[in-house]
Amino acid sequence: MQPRARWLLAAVPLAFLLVMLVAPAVRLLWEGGQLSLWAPLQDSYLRWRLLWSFLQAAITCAAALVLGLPVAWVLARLDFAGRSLVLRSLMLPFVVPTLVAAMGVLALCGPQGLLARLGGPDLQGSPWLLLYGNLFFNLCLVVRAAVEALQHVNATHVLAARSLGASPWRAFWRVEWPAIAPWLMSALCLVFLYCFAGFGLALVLGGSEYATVEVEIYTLVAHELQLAQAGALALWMLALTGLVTWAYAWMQRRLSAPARFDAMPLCPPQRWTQWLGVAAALAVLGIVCAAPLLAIAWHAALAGPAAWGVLLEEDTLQALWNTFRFSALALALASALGLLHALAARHSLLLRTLVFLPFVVSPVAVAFGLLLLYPQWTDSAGLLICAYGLLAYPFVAQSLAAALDHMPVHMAQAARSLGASPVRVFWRITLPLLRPALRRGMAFAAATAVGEFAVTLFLSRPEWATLTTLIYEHLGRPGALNRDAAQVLSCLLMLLALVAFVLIEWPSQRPPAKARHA
Amino acid sequence: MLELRHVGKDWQARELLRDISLSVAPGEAVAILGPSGCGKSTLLKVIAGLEPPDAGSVHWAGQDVTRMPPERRAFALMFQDFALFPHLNVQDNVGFGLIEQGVGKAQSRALACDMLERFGMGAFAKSRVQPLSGGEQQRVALARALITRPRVLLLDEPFSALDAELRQQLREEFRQRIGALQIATVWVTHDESEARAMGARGFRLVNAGLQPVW
Repeated sequence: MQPRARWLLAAVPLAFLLVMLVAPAVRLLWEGGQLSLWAPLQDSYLRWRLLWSFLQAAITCAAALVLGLPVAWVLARLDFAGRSLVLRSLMLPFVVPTLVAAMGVLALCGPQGLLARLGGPDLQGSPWLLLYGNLFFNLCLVVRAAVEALQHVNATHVLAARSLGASPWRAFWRVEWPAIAPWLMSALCLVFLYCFAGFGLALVLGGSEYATVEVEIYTLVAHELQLAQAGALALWMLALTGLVTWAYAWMQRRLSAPARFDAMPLCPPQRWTQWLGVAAALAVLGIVCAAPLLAIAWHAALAGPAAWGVLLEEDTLQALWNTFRFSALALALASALGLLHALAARHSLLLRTLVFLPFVVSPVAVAFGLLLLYPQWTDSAGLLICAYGLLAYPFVAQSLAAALDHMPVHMAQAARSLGASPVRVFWRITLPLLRPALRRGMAFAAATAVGEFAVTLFLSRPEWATLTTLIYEHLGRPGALNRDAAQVLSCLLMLLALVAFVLIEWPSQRPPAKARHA
Repeated sequence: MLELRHVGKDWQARELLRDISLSVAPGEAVAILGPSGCGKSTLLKVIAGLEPPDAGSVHWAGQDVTRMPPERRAFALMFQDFALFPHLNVQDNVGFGLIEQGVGKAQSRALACDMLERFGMGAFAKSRVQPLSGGEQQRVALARALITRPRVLLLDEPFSALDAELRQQLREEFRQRIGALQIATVWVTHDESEARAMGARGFRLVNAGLQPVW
């Protein structure tokens, strides 16, 4: 693509980023007056917030790697009944709204949780709740990346190593590990990013002691109006997340070259150790990823009819309608922006990095900046929908950019030499080949819009309440009935996200391509 | 007649093609031999219009087509990795170019099935392309390249994945078709004996220049 055409395509998403993200963030910093960049490091309380945010992200990365790599190896190398279903289900945690995940962890390990009722410890007030929540979301991310990486290991390389005297274990360390390490590093960058900049989980599970920087920014902005301090913290976040994002984009580009290879064959488990591996992998996935969701369903099932009555309340129906219409509009916006950005970002590290801006800049800071910058728009739901679109579109862009990277350039060239114009090539070749990635990106974008929480807290008005705000409202009210009602609503939101996921993503999933033998 | 006049092309500060001049008459086949990475495939892409030359020009029937977009040249290029479209089945892959020429979908499918029969692939018309073996994919790619009756046929190692018997059969089929349809053919190969068997003029691409071999 010519540079001019690339920048023309990029103009719309970049203008959107400028208006919806950069300008509001700058406005917030300006409102804060004179910034003292070093103030967060001089204040022991804020220093701990920064350090803890970093630590919890790093610990999650380490735990996700230690647990995820063996699970991925089992899924990539052993062919057992239900493997395909497990591989598909790895996508599920991605579409579970943050607040639902937090509710799930509370239903399992919080006060009155399943664990406490069975005589186990109540983990409320400990860092374990937040780390568990982080792992719920991110273990599957690492497992998926590792499975994909292991499927790209060239079988002939491993066989060559074995024929040169390496044991299976040595062949793994000396041949497979170097091949998969860049994929894993790339996935861990994302894990770090999600955890370090996380808001919803940390707000609900972190408590007062283990909240993250993003929660602190929210408190400073919404409750204490300490805009200068919030701005300084936001800049620290921006610096660190920006660095990690750049590293991620750089690694993604390195991994993008399409390659032909002989994939390692799948073998049915034969030895008892292999069966044990399968059982252990399923147990890890069950405990980390399925248990919180089952706990919500269990908690909701035990709730009395009074709690279930919340589903028929007018507020709930209104919130359901709002969630549906806002998400649908945001999804349409995110898909258009994502497609334009991905097409423009092909072969451009700068544009590729810019896709991640909405992940990098604190959404709380952006939301408050939007309020300050566009006060005249705050009575229009358009601003809220645009904000949802802003947070959702990187998923579409990222998914499409990865698919474009893996699309052999010869496809388009062959179509051109068979008489197709560039527009026809896009319509008949590029778009159909991008369709699975588009659906996948849309599934994430839909889940983001359905479960959005941080921006909604600022920009929403009572009449625009969505299911997430309603859950948060119930959580904030005293009494067991409200807690049960929140669990029932979480169940509904989980169901909604699952339906969106199944409708958009499921039909596009195919078993991983087998190696082609000439 | 296809003519290349003093074509030059650099890639990453390396001279791949220098002062290449060549003419291929309709119905004639020219074979380009040379080691891997010497620029043979780039030469095909320059002729197809997929890569612009840094110097020189490409002509068809006396007309300069150097700046003509590839879809208007009717020069079909068959890639070494076949470049079959994974979202289309075998017959729709073969009929792809016909649709671009304005042929209706039903007719293009019928013509594609005819062509596939001739390549012994009739039974696979509705199959997906990915599960096909290398040899089968190669035949589909050849059928797709030939069906539009291109003025120029550009082949990048067209018979490399075929077994000896099929190679012999397709070679014969090709010779007849190129002659009957009066297609000017440039094909890149490693196999000198195959090129000689096709009755082609042979050139070797050495140090970015073309040297006649026979």
